[in-house]
Amino acid sequence: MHISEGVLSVPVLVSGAILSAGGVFYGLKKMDNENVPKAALLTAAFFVAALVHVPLGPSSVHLTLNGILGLVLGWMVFPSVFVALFLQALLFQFGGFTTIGVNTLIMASPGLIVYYLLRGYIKSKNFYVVFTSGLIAGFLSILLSTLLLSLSLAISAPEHLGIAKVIMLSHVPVMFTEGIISAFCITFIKKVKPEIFEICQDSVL
Amino acid sequence: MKKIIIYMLLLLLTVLRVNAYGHKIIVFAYKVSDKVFVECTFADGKVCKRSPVTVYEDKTGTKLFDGITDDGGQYSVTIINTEQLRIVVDVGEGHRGEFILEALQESYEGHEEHEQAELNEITQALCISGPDVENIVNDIMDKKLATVNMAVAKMQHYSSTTRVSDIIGGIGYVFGIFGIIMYFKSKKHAP
Repeated sequence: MHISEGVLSVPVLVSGAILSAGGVFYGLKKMDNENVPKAALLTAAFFVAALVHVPLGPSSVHLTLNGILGLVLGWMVFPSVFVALFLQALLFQFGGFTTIGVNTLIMASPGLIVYYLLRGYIKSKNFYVVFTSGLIAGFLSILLSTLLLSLSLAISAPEHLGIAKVIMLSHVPVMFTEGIISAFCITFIKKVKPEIFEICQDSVL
Repeated sequence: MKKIIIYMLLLLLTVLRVNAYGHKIIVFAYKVSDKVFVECTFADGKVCKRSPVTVYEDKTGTKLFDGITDDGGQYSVTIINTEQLRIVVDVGEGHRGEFILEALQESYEGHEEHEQAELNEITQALCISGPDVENIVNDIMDKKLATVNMAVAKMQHYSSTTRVSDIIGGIGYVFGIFGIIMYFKSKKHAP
């Protein structure tokens, strides 16, 4: 889900960069010393996840983990995704430096939305509530990322509208895979290190 | 925390076993006489089948040709233009690759005269015309260079693929960057 250089129009690139810069600064402001190792660990996981491709049907998919990142980090998802994307662009030429703002927005903002939607449920003591929250977090984060990706392509060039449909369809299996993996990861983290979700508000269930 | 670290290490081990790559597109092009050959692959080595290719004149940005790669991810077009070319392969979904094919230096000062004199000598000895000799030499050179071009393409592909050492290095950078963030944050909070 990395948009390469030269695909998007300048207004889209600039707006993406400004919004992402705001998110990164606010995220850094919210990051206290105790949260830094947590953010580093999840950034490393996000950085690696995009490099591991699993064959699925005629194509191959890779995990994004932005749902988990959002749930655990809240606003800190922005600096976390930015650092990972910056290194992916630098080391592997994935995406590009001009598109880093838009790419950060596409991957970080769904994480933030998921955080605000599910932060009350993730602290629940009920296994099923936590598992379902993880499932929704993974599914929704990819769905929103795909929507944002399609939107930025369509705004840049109306002829990309056809591609947007293909992107949505091709990412349906990814949404389910990500949902299932996120659900297992979140229930696992909840079991071994429940305090990792301490930035989330108290349980509503 | 210990369990999480073990979990992360296990994740890393899967990376070591699975071929790591992204949707990066590697484009390589070379020129044999008037024909430009374009080859494009994904970073994992899979060819970009039936992908749109566009050839631009790099200096002016003028679109010269567009076409579609074959099942082997190859595309060729005859271009008489000797300017620097920019070849763009766009497979959609925001994934695209570019290659700059530099203009070949056709001749250099003094070389042409020397070449002409040499050619005249050969034609006189063999009783064949200058252009004929030039064509023969060009054909032989093209054939010989085709294998060299393929080798360069393979090397280019190898240098562009994702390596495990790069991934581990990247993780190191991640921790390093967050270490710097932590350092500055702790300095701010220090009395």
